[in-house]
Amino acid sequence: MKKDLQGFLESQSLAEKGAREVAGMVREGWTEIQAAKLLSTCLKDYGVKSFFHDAFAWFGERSGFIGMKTYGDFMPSKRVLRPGEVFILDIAPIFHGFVSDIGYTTSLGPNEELEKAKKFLARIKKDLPPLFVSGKSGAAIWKWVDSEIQEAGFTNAYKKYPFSVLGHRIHQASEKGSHLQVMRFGWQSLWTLVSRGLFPQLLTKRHEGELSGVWAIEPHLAGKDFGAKFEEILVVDKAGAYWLSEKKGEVLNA
Amino acid sequence: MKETVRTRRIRNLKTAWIEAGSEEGPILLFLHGYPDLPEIWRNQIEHFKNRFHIIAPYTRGAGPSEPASDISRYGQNSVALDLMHILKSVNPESKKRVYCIGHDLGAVQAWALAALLGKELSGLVIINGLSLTQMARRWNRPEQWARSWYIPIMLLPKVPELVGKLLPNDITALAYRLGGLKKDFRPQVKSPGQGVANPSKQYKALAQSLPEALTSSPSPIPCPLLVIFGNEDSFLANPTLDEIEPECPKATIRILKGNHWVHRENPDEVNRLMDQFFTEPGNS
Repeated sequence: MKKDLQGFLESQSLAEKGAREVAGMVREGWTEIQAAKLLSTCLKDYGVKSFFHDAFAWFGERSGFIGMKTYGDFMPSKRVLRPGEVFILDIAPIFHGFVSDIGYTTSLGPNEELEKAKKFLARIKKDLPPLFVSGKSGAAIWKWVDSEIQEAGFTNAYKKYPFSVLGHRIHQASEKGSHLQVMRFGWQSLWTLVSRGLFPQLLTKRHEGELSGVWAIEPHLAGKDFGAKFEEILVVDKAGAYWLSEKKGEVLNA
Repeated sequence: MKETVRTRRIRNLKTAWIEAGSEEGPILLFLHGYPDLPEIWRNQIEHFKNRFHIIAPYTRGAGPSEPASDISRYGQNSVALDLMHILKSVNPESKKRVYCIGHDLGAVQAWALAALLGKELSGLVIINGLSLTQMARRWNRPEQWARSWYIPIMLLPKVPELVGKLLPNDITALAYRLGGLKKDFRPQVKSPGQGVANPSKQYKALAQSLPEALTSSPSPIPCPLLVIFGNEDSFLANPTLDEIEPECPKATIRILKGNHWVHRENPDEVNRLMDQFFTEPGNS
């Protein structure tokens, strides 16, 4: 399998740039709909023509998916951001044919609980890559993250994603037909996953089989009235398992 | 501060604005319309520059502001993002009060910016202009249809850009003639047509956002609003509080005798109303 990791890295870097830019503009009184719209606009202005999934924005308790039950609940809403609250921006552009999927968590002003959650997530981020080359199954990795979250006193929020995914593989995808979206997911997201058998592409609690490839990994936890996640590209190849962001500055080609 | 044209690379495109006035004063952000340039605000710049920090951007594709290849970059959300960057550049710690004044399509941009700035905007002034939502909801007003005859022409593929490129000064003169702005009141600029060809794409960009404008209910902006309208506008029917209040409960409308460019035709009265607005308790 030959993939151009440079392309994935550029796609991810652009998504992160957009998220940071919009996060820096978010003000008290913004709605999730506004934030999501601005993030999408920002990336389109930087040349993104299509999305694996369009922007999501979750504010306050909705950043932990607290009280959210149906898929419709996850769509950007009129929920208004208040000072001190946590918010998450999540977007998956297809840039020059390369998919990336990022989740960016921050708050409007200082938030001690978020700082604790971020420290915990930083530890998970450090501990995850070796697990992918340890012989553990995908299902075991899912359960490990789940158990670590609960031991730390949080709740597992990634259980509420479709198929309860901790992550999903990403591939190169077509930028054509950018307007064909279902519930903010581009047709490409369905095709790139279903055409490859779907379930091996999703890191669920039942995942079996090999783990090599390019993944978007997204541990997502919930506290009492907020949530926090990170979502980044993890590469599992002959060189081992590593976060693609750690390869910035290198010329990449798998 | 000596009046200067500043240019900066903003979100990958060269973006220009006139900067003048008192660096210590609150910011007045003037947003011009079509087919104008920031020079349309000359009477206001001269009146307010001793007390305020004046920022008057060249809209995307006008004058030294680099055109964009994508139509969407002329839309209200993209322009609002550019304006946020300009404000960050001149007011990096957001410590100064900011007022925004928009005319014509500049009013669409001003409304979009106000929605982003929220409480950070001390006041919004709209001169012969509407928000996109207000414009979209005028579909059932025949007096507006009659005035909007030129919009289908602006939506034709390539035609407005091509004609604007070939005859920029003539198009500007035509717009002023149709709008009733006599020669004596027009801005005295060397190449008045610099705001014609590429900025015409704003109409296409806004048309793309119309379905959303028709179906969404924007959250009300918290700042006070002053609407100044020349009542002999060839392009826009007079506004009503009914159509404005859902987007801004603290709105005041002042109807003046004048045309679409009332701030050129009757600058003393427009400036007086703005002076009053900027110094009202709660707005200052």
